[in-house]
Amino acid sequence: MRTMLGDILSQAGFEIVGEAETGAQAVQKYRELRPDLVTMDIVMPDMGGIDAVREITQKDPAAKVLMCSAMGQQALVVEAIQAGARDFVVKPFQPSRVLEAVQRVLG
Amino acid sequence: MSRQLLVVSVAETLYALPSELVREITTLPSQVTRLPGAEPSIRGLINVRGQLFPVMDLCHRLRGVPGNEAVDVLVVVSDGKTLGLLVDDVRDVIPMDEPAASVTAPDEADTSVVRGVGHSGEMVVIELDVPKLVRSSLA
Amino acid sequence: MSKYAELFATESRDHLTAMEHALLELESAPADRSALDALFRSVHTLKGMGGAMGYGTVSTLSHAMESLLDRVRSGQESLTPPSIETLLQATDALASAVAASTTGRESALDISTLLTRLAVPAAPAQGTTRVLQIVLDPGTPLPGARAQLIVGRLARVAEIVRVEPDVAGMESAQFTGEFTVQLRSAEAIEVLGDAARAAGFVSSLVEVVPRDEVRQTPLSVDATWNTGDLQAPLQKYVRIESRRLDGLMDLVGELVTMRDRLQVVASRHGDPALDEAVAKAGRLIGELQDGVIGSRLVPVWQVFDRFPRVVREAARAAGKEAVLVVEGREIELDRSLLEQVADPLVHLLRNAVDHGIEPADARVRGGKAVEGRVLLMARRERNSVVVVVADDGRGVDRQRVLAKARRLGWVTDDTEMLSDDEVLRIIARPGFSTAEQVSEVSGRGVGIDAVLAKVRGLGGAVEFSSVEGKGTVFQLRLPVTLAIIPAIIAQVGAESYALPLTHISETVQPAAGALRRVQGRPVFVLRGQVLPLYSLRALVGAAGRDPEGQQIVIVEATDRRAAVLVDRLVGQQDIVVKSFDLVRGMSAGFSGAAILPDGTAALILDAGGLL
Repeated sequence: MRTMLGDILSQAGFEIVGEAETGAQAVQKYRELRPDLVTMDIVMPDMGGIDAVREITQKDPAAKVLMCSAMGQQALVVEAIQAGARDFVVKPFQPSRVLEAVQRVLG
Repeated sequence: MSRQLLVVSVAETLYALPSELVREITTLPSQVTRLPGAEPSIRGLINVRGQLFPVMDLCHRLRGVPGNEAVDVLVVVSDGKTLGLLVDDVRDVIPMDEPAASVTAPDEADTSVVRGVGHSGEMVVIELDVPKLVRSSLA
Repeated sequence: MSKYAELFATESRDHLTAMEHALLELESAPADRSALDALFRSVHTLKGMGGAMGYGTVSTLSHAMESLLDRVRSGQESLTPPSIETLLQATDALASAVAASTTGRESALDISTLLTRLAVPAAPAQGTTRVLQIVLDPGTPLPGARAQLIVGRLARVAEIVRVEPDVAGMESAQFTGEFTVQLRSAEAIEVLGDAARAAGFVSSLVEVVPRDEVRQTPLSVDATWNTGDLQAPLQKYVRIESRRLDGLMDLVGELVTMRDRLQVVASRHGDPALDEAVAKAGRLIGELQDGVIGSRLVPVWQVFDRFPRVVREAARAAGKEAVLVVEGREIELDRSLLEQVADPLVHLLRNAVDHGIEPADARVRGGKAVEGRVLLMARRERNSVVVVVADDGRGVDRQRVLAKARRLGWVTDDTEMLSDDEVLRIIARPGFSTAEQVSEVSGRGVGIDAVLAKVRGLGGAVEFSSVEGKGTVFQLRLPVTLAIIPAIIAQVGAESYALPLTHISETVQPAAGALRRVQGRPVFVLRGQVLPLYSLRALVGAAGRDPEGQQIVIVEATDRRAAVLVDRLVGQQDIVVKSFDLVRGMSAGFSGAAILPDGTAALILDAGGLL
């Protein structure tokens, strides 16, 4: 999943500066790398995407986090938005949809 | 009093059904939904103006081979149940007397749903037992 | 009245009607250029006619309206709800002026306030509550979450007062993508619109005038007619034959299917006007559907109120003391669904008295109140209504159920403990009864199987729990309405199947290694939990091999879950459940079929049956 998103983004000219396997890693990496954009799976091993978003945006209110969710996870997505996520994309990913969402978040 | 029978052709044989059991005649839609587990003569489920019912390939049921050319569907209703019968061609409505009780149709793979053989003028037709056909296919 | 005056009166009436129509259109679509032009033409014609006839009030008023419309047409000003309201009032005043003119009394009308208001562009007053009506693009993924994002964007430029529907309503599958936001802001509507659109998927956004605000604005013209006298008190309820409602429901069901089909066909043409018309029609059909579903809902007390007697009689026949407590009488359910669930409920209530509640002396020994208590409760939960039947009786004797199940060979000999789930499965098997004697009241204890079959057939699920010595609880989870349910459409090969959302907890893209085999059986590991894995391809006997990128749907019923592997998920939609005459030999596990937007039928996978 991460690689597929990565492919879409790098083909569109974005530079992937880091990847994380777990929520805790994501928080850690964010602190080190300060990326312009974070894409985050809602469901992840350990702490989960929502908690990670909450932690990231608490430390950096300007953080731009884009959630990746499956259909049927609407309640989780709403929770993520309330936790500070800026936008979301729904799997299966369509490159155009992903890039539109990225533009909305960065724009 | 003679009855009204609808004559159809299936694999170049003429069959007849009581016309009062035939609700309508329609053509087989391009989309047929397969019904898992159903016997091979059941083609699947079709949608006719919002109503769904299974369609049986009559050629397959009577002769044991799929009727690939068939496109006409007779919608028959028996005991409140609806079944589509796929046939090659709808020929005519004819008046016909009660069929002969004895059945001699040697090339039929399945005679259990044949009611008898009848004549209308020169024409020899095999009358199908529609209620039995429906009962044997629908639960 | 002169011949010309009469002609003037007739012609102006046509123009006034046209103006009113155009204004009402502009109210819902302020940017509608053709409505604006039509309005302008009528106003302009009336001005000319009034001038030619020497009717000063008519020409002055229409001139002022024309000037305002000129400003709008040239882009100096945009049509806001207050300015539309002023134009509507001016149109009414114009009608009065026309009527008065032809009888020579027009100068009696005072139009000064209106003239001032027409001359000054209306600015939204600071601090007043404004209402935005927002509609999402049809087919927006997770519309509730998108709406939340839009509200979040608006919150950056305005103070949000209230959002309708609320978060729970937006998360519901019934959410149509249409919502209203009440907010306080002095920003121009364009600013608010841009903020909302930045969150994406906004199909339309209009500012509407709150109803009560319209009423508060007094007309500055003394109206020459009064409709108040014509209004007789209306009857609040009308009796309708239920057959008619069923007929309406069928028609709406077909209309919903047709809407989806229309959207598919329209999307091939790429004509924005067509898309918009289809989207508009779609929303209206959605509203119609809600309305018809709503008209079929009846409060559960219509059936529940028969039950205290059922319990009393069951108790008397069993020589016990029991009382029925009913809660949630006002909860509403589809009328036909409520009727169909009545028998299963009677059965559960009788069972509660017969097998649950102990005789009075046993209750006293156990430190309980002499009188047994049976609870029947309805409550609304997300898209479903839950009906609870609970008793404070002896609970299920697990050892006895286990012993009997062993004797019948239904469990392996080494089984030592039964979970609630297993107990339900055993007592639900036809022919099971632990009653020592065959009771006249609940028959032979058969019937739990019938209850389960009935509730599942209605698209619901049964949950069960029991604590020995404390009591037994049955929970019936029912859809609010029968005919139309939200579902996910999944494919294997080229075949589509519908999976009702009521039984789906989530969908997952399986990670490598999540699909395993345990004791030779395929399983899926979801967040550390091992779930049985079914392949939809195998369930339906479809041809072909599993492709790459398969998806997993987690289905749940009772308290069990399972993973279903499908080739693709193609989307979520409201499906109209259609029954058909089942074919002999057909695989179990399908509860009817749905008609998809392209007109084909898709079988509905019955998760309850699968588990």
